[in-house]
Amino acid sequence: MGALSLKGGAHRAVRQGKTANGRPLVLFAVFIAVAVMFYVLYLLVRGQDNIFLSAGIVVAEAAVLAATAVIFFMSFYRAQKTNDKLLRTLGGLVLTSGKLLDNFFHYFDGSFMLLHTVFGTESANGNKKEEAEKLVAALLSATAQDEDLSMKSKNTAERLLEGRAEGFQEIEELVAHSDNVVAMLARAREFLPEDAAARLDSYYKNIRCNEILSNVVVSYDFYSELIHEFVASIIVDLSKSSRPLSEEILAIKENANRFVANIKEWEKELTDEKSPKNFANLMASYNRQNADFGRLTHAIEANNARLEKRLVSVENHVREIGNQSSRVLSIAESVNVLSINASIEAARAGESGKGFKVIADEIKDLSDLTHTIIDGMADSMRQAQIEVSATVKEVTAEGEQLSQGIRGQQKEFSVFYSVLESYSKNFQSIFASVNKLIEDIDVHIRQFNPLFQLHELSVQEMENLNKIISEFLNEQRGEMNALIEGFTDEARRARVNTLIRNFEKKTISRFELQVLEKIVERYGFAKEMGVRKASLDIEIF
Amino acid sequence: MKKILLVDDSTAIRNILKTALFGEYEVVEAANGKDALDTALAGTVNLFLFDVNMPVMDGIQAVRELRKLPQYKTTPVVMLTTESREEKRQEGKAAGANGWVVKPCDPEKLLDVIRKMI
Repeated sequence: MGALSLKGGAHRAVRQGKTANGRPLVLFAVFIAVAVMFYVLYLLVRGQDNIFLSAGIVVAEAAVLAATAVIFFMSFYRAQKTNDKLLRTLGGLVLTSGKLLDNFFHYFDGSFMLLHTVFGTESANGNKKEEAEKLVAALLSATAQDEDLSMKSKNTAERLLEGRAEGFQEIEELVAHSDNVVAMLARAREFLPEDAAARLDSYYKNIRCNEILSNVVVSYDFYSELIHEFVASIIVDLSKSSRPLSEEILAIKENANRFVANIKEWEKELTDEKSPKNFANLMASYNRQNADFGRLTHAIEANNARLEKRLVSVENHVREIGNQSSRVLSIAESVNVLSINASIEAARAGESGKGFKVIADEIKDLSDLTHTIIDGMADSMRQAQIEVSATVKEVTAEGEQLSQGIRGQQKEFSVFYSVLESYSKNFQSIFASVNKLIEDIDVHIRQFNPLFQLHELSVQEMENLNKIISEFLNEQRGEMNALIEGFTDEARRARVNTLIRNFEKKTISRFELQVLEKIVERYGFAKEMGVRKASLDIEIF
Repeated sequence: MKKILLVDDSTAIRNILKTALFGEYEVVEAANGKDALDTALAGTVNLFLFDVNMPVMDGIQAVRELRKLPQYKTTPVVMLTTESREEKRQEGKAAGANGWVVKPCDPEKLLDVIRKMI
């Protein structure tokens, strides 16, 4: 019962398999959303002339990609784990159903042999006959038990797939019971007379023949129903997941490939010497611009200094003119005093000084005029001085502001430049890691590939098995009914022969089981089941 | 890009195998032998991957029919199946198949086989 030792893990796995069905869909949706986003971003970058925005988008995208990859791998490993458990469960169930089916065939084989025995013992010695009849009684009680088990196990398969422990207990009970019956039947073989074929005729005549056959039919119905439900429920559960799973995997692979293609195109755009977005060219052009900025600042500062110097010298000149005009003013004062004195002297001279007085008055007028002019000039000078110094201050402040502005821009520029420079340096490694990531995804998809195949093949094989079992069971049931209702010995003998021929067909379904066992074995699920490992099977003709 | 016709009645198997071939080959699909022949006639196929057990027309019968077509006399055909019995293999070989790969298969090994043939 190696297969049944799996039961604990297996029934949990089935439950997880059921609840995990939604996860790959969520993963798929996330992946599609991210892929669409990438594509939109890619289009944005393509249409974008601003290298900083492009660089920002690329960096953001790389970050989003890394985050997505983490989510992706987490989900992927979870899905793998679930799938792995599902397959282990399947392996266990397949081997269990194989065992049941095997016992089922033995059971029928044995039943017919027992019939030979029982009805062939009429001519055998007394002891043998007694023992054979005991066996028949035991078999009858065992088949009655089959009926009880049949009632109890109606939903065994369903319980098994729900992962409930009692399902596995029931299966174990069933297998133990059928083992027991098969053991009894094996013992019955000892009573099989050598001339069994010749005795076929005689056992039909026995009145107990129909009783035993009826019991066999009851057991038969029970096994048919059980095996059928068992296999059908496995198929339903498995086939739910294999197709959507395969579609998801294909979509992931397609998106990964498309993404790689986009990245490659991008890489080319940024590294190709002829491309307008080429990094080296951009860096060189930014370098030139940066040097221009430096020269500009320098020129502005020098001009500013020159302007300031000139303005200061203008201010000095104005001040000097002020000083000189005040000297003119003091001369005018002296002239005024002179004119007053001259007027006094002219008055004292009387009539003869009249002419001189006119001159003295003129001199006074001239002095007053000079005074007025100089005063006006002084006012203008003061005004000019105020304006010049205000201009000097303004020019100095503006020059300072301009230099600061340029220096600030230069600083900003160098920040951008260093971002661009480091981005350019990291560029290859970013692309390398993106490519590595995609490769990793690829490797994982490749590793999972046989598992996904196995998953679908298991469903197919189970479907085939169910079909074969169904056909076999229907044929046998028909033959058995005919056997019970058969009128003539001849007809009954013909039916028995058909039944025996039908049993030979069991090798087909055993072959199907072998295929499944081989699959189980190839992927290491067989370790617990003690099956030998087979090599990969490829042949080129 | 070379064209491979992938013939299997299971959509899931076709999807899964496509993930292995995707990018390196152009993959067209058919769900049974008859569809495969129709598809093969509609365009040029460089290699065939045939499942054996399929409804309508099985893989071996389809290969026999395919070999009757002058344009596909020598095109490589790989049978891709769960069948591993020797008599089935011989039947496939006699029908005109060039290789036999038992499913489930390692996609890399399958690609190796394909790369050797085309």
